[in-house]
Amino acid sequence: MSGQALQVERLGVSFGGRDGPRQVVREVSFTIPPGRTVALVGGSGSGKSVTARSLVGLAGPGAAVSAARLNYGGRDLLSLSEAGWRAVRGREIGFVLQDALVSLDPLRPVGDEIVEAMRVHGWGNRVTRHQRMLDLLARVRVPEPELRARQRPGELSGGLRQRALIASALALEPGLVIADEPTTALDAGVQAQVVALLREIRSRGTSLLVISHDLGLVARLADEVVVLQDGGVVEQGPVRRILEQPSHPYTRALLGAGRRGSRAAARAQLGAPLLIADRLDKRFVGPDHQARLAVDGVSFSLQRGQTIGIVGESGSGKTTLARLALGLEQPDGGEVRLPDMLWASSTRRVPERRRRGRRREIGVIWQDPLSSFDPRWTVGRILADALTAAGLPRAAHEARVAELLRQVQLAAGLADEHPARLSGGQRQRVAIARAVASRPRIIVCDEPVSALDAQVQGQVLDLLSGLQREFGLAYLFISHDLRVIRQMSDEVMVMQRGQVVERGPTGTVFGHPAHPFTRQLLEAASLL
Amino acid sequence: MSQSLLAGRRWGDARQGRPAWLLPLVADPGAMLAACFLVWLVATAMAPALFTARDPIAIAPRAAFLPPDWAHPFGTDASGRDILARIIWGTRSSLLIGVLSTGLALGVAIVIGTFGALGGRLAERCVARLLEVLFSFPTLILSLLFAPSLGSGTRSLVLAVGIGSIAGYGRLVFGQMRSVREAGYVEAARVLGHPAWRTICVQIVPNAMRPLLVTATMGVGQTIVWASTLSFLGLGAPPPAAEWGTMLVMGRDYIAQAWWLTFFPGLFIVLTSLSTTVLGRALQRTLAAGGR
Amino acid sequence: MNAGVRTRRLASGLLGRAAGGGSVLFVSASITFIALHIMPGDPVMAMLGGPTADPSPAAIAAARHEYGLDRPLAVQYGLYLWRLLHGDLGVSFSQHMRVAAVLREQAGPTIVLTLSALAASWIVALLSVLVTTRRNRWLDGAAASVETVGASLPHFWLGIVLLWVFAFRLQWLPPAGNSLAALILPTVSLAIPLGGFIGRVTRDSFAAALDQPFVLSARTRGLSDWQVRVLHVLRHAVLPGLGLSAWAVAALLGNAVVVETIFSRRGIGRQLFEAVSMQDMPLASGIVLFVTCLYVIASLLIEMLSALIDPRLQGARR
Repeated sequence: MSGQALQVERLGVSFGGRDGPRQVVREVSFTIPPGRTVALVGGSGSGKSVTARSLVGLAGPGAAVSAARLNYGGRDLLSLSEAGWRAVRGREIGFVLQDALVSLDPLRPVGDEIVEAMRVHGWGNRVTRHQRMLDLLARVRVPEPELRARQRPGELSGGLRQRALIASALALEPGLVIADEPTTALDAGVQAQVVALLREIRSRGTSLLVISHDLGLVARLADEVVVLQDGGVVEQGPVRRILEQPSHPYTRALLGAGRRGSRAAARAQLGAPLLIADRLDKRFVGPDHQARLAVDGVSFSLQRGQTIGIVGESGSGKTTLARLALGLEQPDGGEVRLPDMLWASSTRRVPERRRRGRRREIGVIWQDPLSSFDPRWTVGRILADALTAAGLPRAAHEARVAELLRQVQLAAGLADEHPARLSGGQRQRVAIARAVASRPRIIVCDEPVSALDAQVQGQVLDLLSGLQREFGLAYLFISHDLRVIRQMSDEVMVMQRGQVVERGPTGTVFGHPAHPFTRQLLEAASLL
Repeated sequence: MSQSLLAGRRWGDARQGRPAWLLPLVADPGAMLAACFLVWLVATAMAPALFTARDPIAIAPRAAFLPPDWAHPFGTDASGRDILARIIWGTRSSLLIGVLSTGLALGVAIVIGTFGALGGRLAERCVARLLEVLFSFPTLILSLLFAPSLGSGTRSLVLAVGIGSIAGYGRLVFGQMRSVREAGYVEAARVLGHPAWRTICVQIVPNAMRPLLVTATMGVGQTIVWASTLSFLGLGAPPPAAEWGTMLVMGRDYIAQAWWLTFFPGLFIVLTSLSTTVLGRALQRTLAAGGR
Repeated sequence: MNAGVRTRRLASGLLGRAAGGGSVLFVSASITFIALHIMPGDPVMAMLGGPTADPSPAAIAAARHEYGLDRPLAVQYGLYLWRLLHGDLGVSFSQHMRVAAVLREQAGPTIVLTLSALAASWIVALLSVLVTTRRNRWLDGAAASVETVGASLPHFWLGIVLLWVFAFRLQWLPPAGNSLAALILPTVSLAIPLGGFIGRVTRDSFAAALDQPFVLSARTRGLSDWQVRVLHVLRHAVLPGLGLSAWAVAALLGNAVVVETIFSRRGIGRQLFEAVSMQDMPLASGIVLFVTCLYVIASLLIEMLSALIDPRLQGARR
């Protein structure tokens, strides 16, 4: 129960590799007094997750954990045997992993997962455990707990799943709860729910250790922050001080990356409309044989030099809209037009042959560039392939590939590398290079930075803005991240369940949101 | 990470300068052994006379049923023929059967699978149904049904085993094609403006075929086993051909007194099958690690 | 979802499955018909006593007429299908009994053999996988190697070796017959290769499942390694192997041909072999259809079992 303190002094974790031991965490020290919340922040590779897991003895196979002191409630954790650790896990210290969809056993009903900790530690009997499980579900505000407990994670919505996962960690009222990236990969609305839940846990006197790269979350939850880089602490202290007056350059970089301004007001004059969508509909038959409108009466007009941002949660129809705009799907209603040509229509079938000739004018950047690359090809080959499609003669390929790599700020030597060996940011740059290879006028960006680290996100977005200025490109920019949309877009369309619920210039939509859903999104992203 | 002779070790990046596919073999002792054995087999198949001086068919009644010893490492059979010599001479037809029947099955499977995956909705459904039915036919039974019509001998074995293996490869090709068809890079090609036929030839087919290489390698060993099973049942080359399966038939009746008649040919069949499996798995690991 | 939708889905699923099974049987019957009709040789001669007998032309003509072999091929095909639809499997040329009777007599031992081999292979595979996967490098590698070697062994060779070792040399088990003791060696001959194969497949999926986040979640709740394996990972790991089990049943039925021959067991495997060599069309097609039936039933059961374990598979039918 509450009243225990976690003391970590000079924690180090190393993994034995083929080339010798690799230090992943070094000299990390912090204390979590009872009832307080500490956050571990850092980019990927900073060692925050490994640190968290070594606190429950699960650093991973082949890990060597050392510390001057590792205590919980006065008990020395370093000297614990595996059986000793098992007694601590779940009972004294609870752990919540990311993304309930994969962190809960997909084949077991959620109720069983919650009851598991109780069973393993011999708490109560069948009846009392079942009752406590229902109480826990009620506490995390899951409606109809009896029904939900019998369902599997896949049958629950994202929010319910995540709450059930948290409930499973709370089963035996541990004094300390460790949450590893509790809000990543979640929709804005669900994120807000999770934050509220964590706050409530905190108010009950439970200590909390939050691992995150989301500084907004940290600001709302933590009392103290520990900033990690490459396995070592670069800065730590009370949350107010660290976030408002960061002293270390790395901390400042992290903060800077999260904070993004609005689109520069002084932007190029808009040109003629390049892509016009007129009352697009797309029907979709779900697994329950019910027909839904994935896109419902959406229209827009994309002009030269303009960025239209499309924001909404998963399932709102953003990606389907993008596919309709690209002519990859046939609309069930409405049409898509280029200035001089019908691109896609629900009434007339436009042959792919006709579109093919004009495809070089529209480029695409996806969220996961790797799956859009042929696994056998090098970067150079990928770009050359795009040039072939654009009609550039073979002889001119080499020069143009070099030029493209330069434009996206990649070293020329990378042309011989396989994308699989590049970092996420580099891959996306290759994808951007491919998209601009044919000198298009429009680029559709479908969540282009969602899978990237905060710092890298900023760099890629800057690149996209730069290219837009230089070549007068028009972007159809899709994202669920409001900050990114605010930075990149001139005009914003907010989508919910296939419909555009609000649209307008970025400043207006963000400054004075009219629709309640827009408000909800902004609030969840703490932009209101 | 399992560390075994036969499971092989996972390996990292290719070092510069050496052909990527060679490295996992060198690093993996099991695969090396398998490769060496197969190379030796191929050599034996091409020039059996180099490896043994004895005549595999000549009779020597006085030397009948000799147990294994220095003069006859694998013993002699009912007519005094040296078993090792017969095994060596039989390598050619066994390997031939394995490679040809796998090739036949693969060829037909590729045609069917490609047609089904890329030919449209109706084609897809038909092929799916056809493959499901063929698959439900135990290979042996399928081969058994067609074997008598094909006569006896190596050629009929190739056909019988080949026909029986079509379903397995067909399913693989079909499934592979279908999943590659949905791949991100196929859609990217469409967005770039490439015509469909080009994408099929340049991207879909080559990518879908990669795992087939692995399966085909392992398949050669398996078809040799099936062929010998059919021979065992009397449908292969008639005695006294020096074919591994035939040797098994001939030794069948003498199991009690002369175990070596069936043991050694069978052992070679097992070793061949094992080698192709191990090699196939090593290939699988190369492909998975991103090699070319 | 409400009960009405669920029952409707179940019904359409079953109907679809039944139609699928029916078409499988249809194609199966047709392939058998084709195969046996392109065979060289004259079934009538085989029927009337083989190459040594010398029946009169009248007897030949009479027999031909009796078995409908003088009608055009298309008509024969039609009659064949028609009779099958009515459950009439015909009369065996070589055994002069109704095919159904032959099946009744001989199918039992084969089914027993198949089921016991399937059970044995699963037991061996699961034990091996549960105990050794990822526990200890050497153990894991050794067990995986054993499985690979096992999977490469041809049934007949294994059968012969076992026969020699246990029946002739050590004389622990009978070499032939239909008793329970005589079931052991044939079962082992079939179970080792299949067990190796299932073991390899299950091992791979077991190792993959061990890396999943939900396993880590379970560990953070205080579960021991054993508990994690049995309560969580096992369910996930058996799914691919289960899917293969339908094919395995078909393969076992096919391999029974060889094993029954080696161990001189009663069974439809041996019967099939003899029927084919005697060009006994009704019996051969009857057995093949029976085997196909068993396969269809087995795949149905296995599909239901898989859906029970993983309800996500229920909706997704390929």
